[in-house]
Amino acid sequence: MDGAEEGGLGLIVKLPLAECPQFLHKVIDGVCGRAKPRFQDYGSIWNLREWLEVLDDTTTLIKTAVGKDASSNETSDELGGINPEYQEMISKCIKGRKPEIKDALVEKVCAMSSAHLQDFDWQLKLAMSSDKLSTLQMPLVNLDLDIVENGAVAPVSIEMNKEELQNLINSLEAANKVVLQLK
Amino acid sequence: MEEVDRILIHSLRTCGTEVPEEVQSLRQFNTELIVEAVVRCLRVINPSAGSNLSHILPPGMSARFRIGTSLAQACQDLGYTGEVGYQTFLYSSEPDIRALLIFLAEKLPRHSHEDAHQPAGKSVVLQREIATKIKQQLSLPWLPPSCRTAAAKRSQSLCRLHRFHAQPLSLAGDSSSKSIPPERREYWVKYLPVVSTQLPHAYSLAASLLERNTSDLSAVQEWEAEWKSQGLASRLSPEEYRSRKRQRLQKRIQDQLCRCSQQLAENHVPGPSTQDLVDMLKAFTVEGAADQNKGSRFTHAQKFTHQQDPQVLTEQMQRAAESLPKKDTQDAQEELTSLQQQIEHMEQDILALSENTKLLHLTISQVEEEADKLQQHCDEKEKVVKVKKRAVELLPDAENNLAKLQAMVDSSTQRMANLAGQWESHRVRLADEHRELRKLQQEKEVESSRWMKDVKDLYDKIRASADEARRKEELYKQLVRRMCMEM
Repeated sequence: MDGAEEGGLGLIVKLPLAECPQFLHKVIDGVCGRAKPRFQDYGSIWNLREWLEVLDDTTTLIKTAVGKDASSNETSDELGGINPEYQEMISKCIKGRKPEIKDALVEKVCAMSSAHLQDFDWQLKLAMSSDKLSTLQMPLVNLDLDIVENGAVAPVSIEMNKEELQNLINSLEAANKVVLQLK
Repeated sequence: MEEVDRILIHSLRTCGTEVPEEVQSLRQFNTELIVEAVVRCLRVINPSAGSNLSHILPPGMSARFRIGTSLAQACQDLGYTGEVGYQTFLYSSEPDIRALLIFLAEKLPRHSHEDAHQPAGKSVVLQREIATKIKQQLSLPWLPPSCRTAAAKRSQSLCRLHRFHAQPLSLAGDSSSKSIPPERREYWVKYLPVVSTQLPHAYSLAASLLERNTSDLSAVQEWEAEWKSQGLASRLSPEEYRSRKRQRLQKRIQDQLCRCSQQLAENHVPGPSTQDLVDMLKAFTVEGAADQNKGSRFTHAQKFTHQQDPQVLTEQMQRAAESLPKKDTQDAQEELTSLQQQIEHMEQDILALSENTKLLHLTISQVEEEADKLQQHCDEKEKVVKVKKRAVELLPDAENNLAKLQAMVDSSTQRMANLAGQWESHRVRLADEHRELRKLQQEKEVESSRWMKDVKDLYDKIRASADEARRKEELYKQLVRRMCMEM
């Protein structure tokens, strides 16, 4: 890779070798859905443009290396122009975190549809009274669904009483049965 | 026995039965006392079931019978497996009653102050703490926000309520396992941050940990259930079973995708038969792209050579001449619209031409097909002609040729008979061998299924004895505790 010298990955050499694994593990954390590394921690090493390039290229490298299930040799081929010590460090980090990255990528692929459920939350409430009745004492469940559609999270909130909840559970169980049959 | 009775009487007293001081063993229990003890225990164990039973034995025989029956029913509902009926209470025998009372005493919930002296497990302590906290908070009256004291603010304001939002965590596994590569172990040792610092918000830690634990647990349970129901029966090792299952699922997904894409293609290009469709698709994928490029290039050329020639050029000249003096915005507008019109024209041309090429491609494939058919026809006819020609050649010397043919046929039949004899001898040997092998295999099958059954039985037995052991352990602990208390 000729562009590696000037491009994003070549810039990683600016980072002292001892800090390299920490940075890489932070990037991998970001791939796995946790906190990414912050610019203010590395602002003294790269300027903003370089920072974005380094972050972007490192993420891409990690994703492709695990996505293609490349061996460490192939990975270091991609890293051609870089100091061999750094190369070794990078492939070591990727190898160490492979299962996690793989899980994260598989999850991302599974979520590839028009809309999918990312998270849900529920609360149980007891309605003491309504505008018509002074004592109601009706349990209500509040179901919040975080649905990702075209990359944007759309919250959907449903309030149900006992029968409606039972209906929902029944239809979900029927759906589960269909899924089990597919297996 | 006396020890057991003393413990039993003690627990009956704690649940409200008035056992007189002079009664020291179950032998001294009369019917009234038995009924009262059972009813009191039932009330403590299950308040809703026990509340409609009277603990005082009525004088009438039929009422006594009724109460005995309902008590027996209640005990059976609780899960008592022994022999129980109205006669157990009304005409009691000592061992029956002892067994029943022991069962009920085991079912009694532990009294909290009784528990307090005993070393309790972590989870019990936690649960008790949660319960007291909730009780305490419920006992406080609700206050409007401006009147809250510091303590009330903490428990009543909404700012401490968080969404249950779980995030993925990175946890170290069993590092002693051999299959873990050294790089991964190094990451765990050197770089893996503590769980509490992995998340951006501290409040999602509990949620994330709970979620992770639940998902791990349910994954293990699901696997165990599947392994016991299907995995053991398939007689494969777990790894083999898993890979077999993965292959099956992959194949299934592939099939589904193929079917879906086919359906999609059919919906988009409605064709009379699939063959036509495939032809169309081929035409599109192989040559379509090149064609379209060609077409557009062609139209470009056309634009430059033909269409633009006289008219457009003069128009453009005129417009240029006009624009020089005026330099108006209106002019620019006009030019824009005319250019847009030109573009539209060209687009229409392109469309028409691509339609044309499609049609031509279709005709080409049809013609090719026809040519193929004709070629086949021709070949067949040629064969027929060859045979006939040979017959005609042989016709002049018919007698001799017939004799030759006869001789050939005879030798063939003889060879055939020979071969049949040889085959027969081979076949008998092979059939014998086959039969023997099959018998052997059947025997093995029978033996292995017997082994399977043994293993399953053993498994059930292990489970049953584990349950039994656990139950006995609990009983033993309880008895020891009681004994300690008694001392």
